[in-house]
Amino acid sequence: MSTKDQFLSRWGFLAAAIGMAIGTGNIWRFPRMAAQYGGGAFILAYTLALFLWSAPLLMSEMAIGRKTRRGPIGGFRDFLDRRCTWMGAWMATVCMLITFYYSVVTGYCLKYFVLAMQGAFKEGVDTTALWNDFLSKPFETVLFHALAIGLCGLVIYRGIQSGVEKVAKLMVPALFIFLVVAAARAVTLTGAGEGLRYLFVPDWSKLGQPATWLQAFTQSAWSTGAGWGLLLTYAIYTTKKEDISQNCLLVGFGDQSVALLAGMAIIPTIFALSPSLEQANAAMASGNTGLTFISLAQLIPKMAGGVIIAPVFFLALVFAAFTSLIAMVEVGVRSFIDAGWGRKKSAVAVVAGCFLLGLPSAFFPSFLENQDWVWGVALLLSGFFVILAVWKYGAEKVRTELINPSADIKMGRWWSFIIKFVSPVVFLVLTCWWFYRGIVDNPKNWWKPFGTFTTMTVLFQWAILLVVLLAATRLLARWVKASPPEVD
Amino acid sequence: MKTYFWMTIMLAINWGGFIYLLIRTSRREATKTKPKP
Repeated sequence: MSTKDQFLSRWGFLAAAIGMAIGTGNIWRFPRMAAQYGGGAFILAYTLALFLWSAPLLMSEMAIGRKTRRGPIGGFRDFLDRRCTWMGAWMATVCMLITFYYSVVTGYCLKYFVLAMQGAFKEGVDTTALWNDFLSKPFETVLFHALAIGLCGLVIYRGIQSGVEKVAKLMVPALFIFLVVAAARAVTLTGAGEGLRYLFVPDWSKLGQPATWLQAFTQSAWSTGAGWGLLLTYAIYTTKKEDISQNCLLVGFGDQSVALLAGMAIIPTIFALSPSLEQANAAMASGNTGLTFISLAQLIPKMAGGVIIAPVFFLALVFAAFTSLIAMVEVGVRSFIDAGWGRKKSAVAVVAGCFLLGLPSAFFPSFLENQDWVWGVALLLSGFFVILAVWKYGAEKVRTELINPSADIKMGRWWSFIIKFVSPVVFLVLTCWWFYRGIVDNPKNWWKPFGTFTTMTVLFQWAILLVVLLAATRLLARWVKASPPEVD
Repeated sequence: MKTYFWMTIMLAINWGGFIYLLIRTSRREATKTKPKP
């Protein structure tokens, strides 16, 4: 591997890794979850989830990537054995299936940034009609999808140092600054206190409800990128001396800090500017895109300085989405590089594939919603495969041989205990609860394999992928080249 | 008052953790790049 295919500095790696973790979910999902599930009580449960699920998984992923110098497919083959290649292939494929529609979502953010720059969000504009109008024009959704994946391809094409690292070093600090500006404006609005109360004052009774814990853990799992194979892939481009534990904790805390900042920008805005408390609550319950592209687009222009805050907010959203999209595309590109392809050829192939396979999501929003429903939860299974890999390799061996030698903050035996016993229980509880709710909440239709939000559509699509990957595992094991590249 | 108390606690845990780790990392990096006598 050439030295150009390595991060130039630790800060470059950290910027890319934090950018990978911070996505649209920090901005449009965390604030809703926190407000709905007990404010401060949810934040505490969310912080605990970082230690019991996300951080151990991120450390394990980074250890696998740094040891094997392979993407998820080759990584699992070399870390375990050839028969386990399908697990890595599951991880990489799920990540790519998410990439196809995430590029479309990044395109939505780009479109709204352009609208904000054009001053389209004026008082009295019907933002619901604006949103529906945009979705009903496939030409526009495809155009912005192409723009998002094309720009991402350009970054990946230029390589790690000249592309990924440079962009992350620019976008991640800018994202922090943009959110600080938006939060500073939001908390100084008259009536912002009510929103801050919803976000921070703990409703302890919510901790007695399983849903609070389960939402906190799923939010942390999805938000930090644990189990996606993203950090595993970025770890390939680090040196042998790179500190795994401290870097992963920084990624986790960075991700949570941005989520809180986004909460401070969004919830006070909603509560201060909504005409009534009922309307504020309705906005919070309107889903990710409803909250952002309809409610916030309508409310931001009402504030003094809204003309500036709107583009700042939507640019922050674009940067959050884009830095995650880069990491996702890199997982696909790395799989081809591992098979002996050059970076440039791989980047062109993966970007073209992402564009084509993202088209159904760009044309049909219900297809996008279905894919989000199916593959979002598949990440829990990817995370479980990482746990299995650590089990098989030996948790103590991972801790003492791969994590601790280069660590500033050494992990104690508790780390092995968590990854061996606590994280699997977390996986089992989260998965069982998710399927149980899917059946109980939709008793008449849960068994339909072609429904948008049914439990059976998840099982059906997972089963197809699992059968294909299990059948192809030998082929995939041969596809990845044998000798790993040497790195200092 | 209650809101700001809890806001401080939550931010101290999360931002505090993040800033502490950032400072620790930058100190480590600084010692790495320091020229040896």
